[in-house]
Amino acid sequence: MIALDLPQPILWALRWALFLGPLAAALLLARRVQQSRRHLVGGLFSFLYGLGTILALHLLAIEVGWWRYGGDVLMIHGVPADILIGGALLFGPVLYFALPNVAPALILLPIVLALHGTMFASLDPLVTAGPNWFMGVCLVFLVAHLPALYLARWTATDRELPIRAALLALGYGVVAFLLVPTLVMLAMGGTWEVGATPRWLLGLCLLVFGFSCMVGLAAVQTFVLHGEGTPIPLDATRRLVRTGLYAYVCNPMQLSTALAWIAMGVALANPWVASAALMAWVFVLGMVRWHHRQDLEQRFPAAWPRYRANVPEWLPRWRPWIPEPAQLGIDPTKASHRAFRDWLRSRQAIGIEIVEAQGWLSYREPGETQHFTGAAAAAKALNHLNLAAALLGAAVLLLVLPFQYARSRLTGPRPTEIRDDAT
Amino acid sequence: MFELRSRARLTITFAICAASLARAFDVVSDLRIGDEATMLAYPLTVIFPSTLAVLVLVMGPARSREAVLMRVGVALQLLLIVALPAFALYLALGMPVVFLVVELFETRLPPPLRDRIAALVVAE
Repeated sequence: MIALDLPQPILWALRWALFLGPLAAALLLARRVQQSRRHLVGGLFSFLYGLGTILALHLLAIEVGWWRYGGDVLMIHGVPADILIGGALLFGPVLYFALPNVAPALILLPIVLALHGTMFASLDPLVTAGPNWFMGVCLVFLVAHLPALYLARWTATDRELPIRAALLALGYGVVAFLLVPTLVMLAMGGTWEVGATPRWLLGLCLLVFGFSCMVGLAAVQTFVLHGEGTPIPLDATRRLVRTGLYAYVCNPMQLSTALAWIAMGVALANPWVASAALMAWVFVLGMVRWHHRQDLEQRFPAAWPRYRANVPEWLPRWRPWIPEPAQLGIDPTKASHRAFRDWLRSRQAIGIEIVEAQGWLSYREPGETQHFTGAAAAAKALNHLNLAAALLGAAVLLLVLPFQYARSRLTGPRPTEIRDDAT
Repeated sequence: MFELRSRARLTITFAICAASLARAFDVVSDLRIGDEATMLAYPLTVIFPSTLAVLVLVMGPARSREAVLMRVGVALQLLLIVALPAFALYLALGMPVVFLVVELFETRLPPPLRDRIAALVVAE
């Protein structure tokens, strides 16, 4: 390890360089790839993912004593905001734009070993290393930097949609529910302390927060499955998504974010955090509606206005709006399938056509490439009953589909057959 | 296609440069009394928003007038962030309000008035 004893002006210059260096490099390198929009979007996504996850991991590092930062300028709970943004730029767009064809692990390994391994413990008082700091560095690289570079790469080449949507959801979650409330509390006052909140209220808030996250994640999953894109308009869906929770409400993601902020505000006894929900509403009025007019209305001139005329923006419908019926394949020789069919009929499921098939329960929507089987098919069928059943189905899909996806990656998809002889 | 008028672009850019320069003077005067905080904060609180504002202003033509107005709104908000450091965090957190204002401008204002105001900064 190099034992540097840097004078104060050099440390100041280093702090400037740790922010301005990546910023300048990102801008210069972005000019080089500006012909490829997907590369730019990939770089942007990697930055957004890194921003939240680096903050979360550095807060963890400070909490467990792996390292701490000196100084008191532009601090977010002990993490310098400029170094945070510089890090997200460097280990996101800069490295990706500079070395787009090199495997991220090969880029990062020398940096971990050569740069951090030799210099990290020598930058006191800018950063003071504690015990086990190298383990912390490795964790930051594994959880923040490595996925950020893969996210950029996969976005640019339009691959691994489910994984990159999951990474975007994680990055968004950390930014929305860690960074934004922290900044709100820095501006308006308050702490992350929940000791004064009654336990029953805290439990209720946790329940609402968990429910909101489930709704948001389910919406992201629906975009991936039925839209073949991410929720972020820069990497937009190819098809108009009208199924799942979108058959009940237009903006489930914004609704879930607003609900989660309200729950956090109540748990933290901080009205300013709760009022961030107003910003979600402002965002929908100002940005989302504009996006709908400029993008969805242009790409789907008939389907989008029809969808908007039937599905509300904020307050969900109780029964779904399903313009074209989906197909549920059941095996009449199986008692459980027959019981499920009868139950759906007794609950007056709408927009669903039940056909006979052999083997697994199966579900398919018109004009879709996605085909659901087993528990996933049953969960999809629940979407045709009412909002409560749809939420239950969405929760089941969040558990079942990642498992099915992982299995299909390992062993190939499960064979399913549908006969078109309707019962 | 719609684009920002050169005069509007130059005016906002000049204002951002002036605000950045004023903040640089603050840095020098603070350093003279031994306070390095404003110097350390300068890249993030001045150079970063100024760079973003300039990038937004030099973006190419847009398909809608609203998009250009949003860019103007964002650039003005960034100018305020540079010029009013005591309110910078509040202004940054309130960025979505810019889009709401543009939306209300485009959808609620009487068309003759709206078009006359928009023509000051947007060229078709």
